[in-house]
Amino acid sequence: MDQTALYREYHKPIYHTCLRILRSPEDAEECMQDAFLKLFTGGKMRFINNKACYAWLRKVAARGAIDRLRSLDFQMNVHAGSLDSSEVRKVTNENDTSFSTLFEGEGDHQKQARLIKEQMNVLPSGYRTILSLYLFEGYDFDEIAQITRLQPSTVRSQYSRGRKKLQEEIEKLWTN
Amino acid sequence: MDKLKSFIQENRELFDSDPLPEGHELRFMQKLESRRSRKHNYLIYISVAALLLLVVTIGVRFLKEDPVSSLFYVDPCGSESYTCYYDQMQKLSEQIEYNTRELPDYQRQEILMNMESIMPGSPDEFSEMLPKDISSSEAVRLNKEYYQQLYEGMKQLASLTN
Repeated sequence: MDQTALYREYHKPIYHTCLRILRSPEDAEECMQDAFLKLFTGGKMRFINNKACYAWLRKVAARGAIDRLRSLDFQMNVHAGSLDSSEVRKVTNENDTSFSTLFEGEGDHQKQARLIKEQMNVLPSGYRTILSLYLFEGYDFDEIAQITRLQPSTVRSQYSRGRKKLQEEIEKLWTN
Repeated sequence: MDKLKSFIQENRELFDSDPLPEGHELRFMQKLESRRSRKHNYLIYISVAALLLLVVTIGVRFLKEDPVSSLFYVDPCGSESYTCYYDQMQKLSEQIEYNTRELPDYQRQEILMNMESIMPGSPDEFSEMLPKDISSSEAVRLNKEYYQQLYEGMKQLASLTN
């Protein structure tokens, strides 16, 4: 696949990965383009297939977005206390009862999605970054710790607190 | 199953619906071009530096050796067979004999003795020593190398008598 085709194929999801973390469309565009520039001008890189190439781009974009956030003085909340691992399991396990108000019945998916997006955007940058990487990009906590250069326990804590905050805000708005 | 996560994964298009800033592709192509031309400029600088180094190296080497003869030297038998070198050597030996006729006898004898040790008995002297099973092209190459070296030696000796 040539470079233009590769850009056209993957620019949209990479842009949204950056946008979820940075919120600003201009910053997200730069972050997305920086990832592609690294791919196209950073020497010869070989990937076994396009999926591997996309995974690389996504990780580079996420790292770039986090670095950009830090340089914009959006300091991530690295001082969150660590939580008991059982508390973390509670929000990610099979018997999850959170967001029950939001997801009960069929509901309007568009409205639900808009609400989640809006509330994600008002979360502090540290929570937002970790929630984005876990919920949208599908990384596990160890991978997020690697990308954000935080301790895995800090990542878990931030995820739990961020998710709890998101849930409270959404349910408050949804029930009104 | 994590309800929030599965809802997001199932309705991904609803979350990734924001339009990209207009003209992003054009801006990207311009960035890519400028990044490449910057890289291209580095390559030009490196090439020019390498070329200068080569010129200086060749220049120094050229000045160290005999510049005029190395400039105008042409191998008289470059494209001919090895017997050409033998013929050239015979001519040189006649020239050496002529040039040394007025030298003191002991000096002349020394030069002529050296000349005879270099001069092969016949143009086939080396061919007869080669193993029978080598190819004819290989035999020609080896003969040419052998007689060329002898010719170079004879030329050095002749230069002493000029």
